[in-house]
Amino acid sequence: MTALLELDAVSLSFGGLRALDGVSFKVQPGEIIGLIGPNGAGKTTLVNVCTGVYRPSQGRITFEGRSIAGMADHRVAHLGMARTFQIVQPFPRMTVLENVTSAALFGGGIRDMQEARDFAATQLDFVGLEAQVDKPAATLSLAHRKRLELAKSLALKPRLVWLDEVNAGLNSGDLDNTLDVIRRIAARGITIVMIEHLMKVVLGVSSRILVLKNGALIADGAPADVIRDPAVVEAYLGGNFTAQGDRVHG
Amino acid sequence: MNPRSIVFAMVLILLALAAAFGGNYWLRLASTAALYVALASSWNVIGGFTGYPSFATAAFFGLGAYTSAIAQVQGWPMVAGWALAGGVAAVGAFALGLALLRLKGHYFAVGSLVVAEVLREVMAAGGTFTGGGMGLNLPLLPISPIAQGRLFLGVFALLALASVVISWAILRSRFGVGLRCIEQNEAAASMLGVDTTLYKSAALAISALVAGLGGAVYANWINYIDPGDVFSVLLSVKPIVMALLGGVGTVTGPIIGAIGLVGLEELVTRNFLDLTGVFFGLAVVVLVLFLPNGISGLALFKRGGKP
Repeated sequence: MTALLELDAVSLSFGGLRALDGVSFKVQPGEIIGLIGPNGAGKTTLVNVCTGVYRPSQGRITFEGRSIAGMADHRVAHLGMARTFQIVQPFPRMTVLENVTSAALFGGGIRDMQEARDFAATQLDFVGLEAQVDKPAATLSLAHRKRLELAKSLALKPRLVWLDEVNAGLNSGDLDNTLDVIRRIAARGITIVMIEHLMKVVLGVSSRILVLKNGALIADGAPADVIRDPAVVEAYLGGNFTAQGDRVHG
Repeated sequence: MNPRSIVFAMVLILLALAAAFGGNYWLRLASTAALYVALASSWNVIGGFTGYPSFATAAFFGLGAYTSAIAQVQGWPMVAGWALAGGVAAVGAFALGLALLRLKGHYFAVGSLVVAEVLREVMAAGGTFTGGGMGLNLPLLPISPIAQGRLFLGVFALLALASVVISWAILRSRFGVGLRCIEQNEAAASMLGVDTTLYKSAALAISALVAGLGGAVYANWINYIDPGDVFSVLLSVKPIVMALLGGVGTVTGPIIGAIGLVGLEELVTRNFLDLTGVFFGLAVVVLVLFLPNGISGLALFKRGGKP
């Protein structure tokens, strides 16, 4: 089976800073991948390189067999790769419905205005924002804005969606709602790569976990194996803890 | 009848009255108002819908005026000169937009302001081809002055109508949705699949098409152009003030603003010539402080639904 998304030795430098350092991995259709790593590890940069915001300094990126490294972000959106923004990016003076309709009209490829509106309304029902459709996006709560981001990315009719910290800043009730939405997105056959700091969420939803540290991929595997990997424990908790841990269990 | 239809109806009646019964004075005033409706409405496409505060209206106006004037001096018929002017302004704006629209906010405003200055110098240095600093005389039409006044009022009114209809059509189209997305959050617009570079440049080109045609018609109306006149910075500033006065980003706003400002300006310059500058300064301050959404942002116009 050919991979949906494949990165081959992707690097990105900003001046002297190596933000991504030879990252290689494959994403198979239907996977839910958790992308974790300490602050500043390059997680959002990786999303930006894959979605066309940045052009990689080196390496190849293929999406459905087509090279997309350095392709403009609006073209990547048309190919079926969507993302949510860590810091939510609504169109503030449009209604919630208009926000999602815009996504359907462009990346979603629905050129008819009424058809796009209907499709957008369906996506808003799906994420549970049906009561908010006519409100200006600027008036939504953070939890609702996060769901608006989800609805917009779904309106692009994506094959793969990057979820950049869709759970950050949510209370536990909102969190359960969002987790439910993520599972239902996966059930629609959409491949998910989620950046997430909450380990409960990562372990509960992901089928595979990637770990970034200082721009390099230090682990790639099943959740249970990855969290026991000494390199991962060290990246998160520091070398002393690993040594101590070894003594206790050894 | 909603307030917007009343505005349209009043404008049409005033234009018709001026054309039928007005002398040269009223014909000139109505023509000026129609020209500014066209310019304010076309500025609104790039400045209002897209959110890029362009000060390049004078550049495209002057480019249109010179293109058409030079073509006519070389023997082209008047209408062919106008068509060429619209085309040159639009194509030039599109190409310029690809480079200039990478700038945002104040940087874009200053960058766009420079274009007219550059073109003014180019035309002034163009020797006999452009007439240089002496300017160019255009061929006179073989009709009476009053018939000429009526003819040009008709042409300016058509241009204003076309400009308003273009705005109206854009707001209802997929293209218009893309422009609104760019205005509100360009990074997010791009990520949703909007080709922002293409859309912004197209918006600037549409705006320049109207401004270029306006300049071309203006040249024949006045019969004489020179660089200082058709590249005047006031030609860039007035459409912006008019759109602000009427309501930025709406279809009706620039119409109300243009007619209102031309009327006020006429009253002030007729009665208090020395105070014209004071008047413009005060108008901008009052607008920004008390009427940020313009006249069409007032409750009266809100009830009719979305602008």
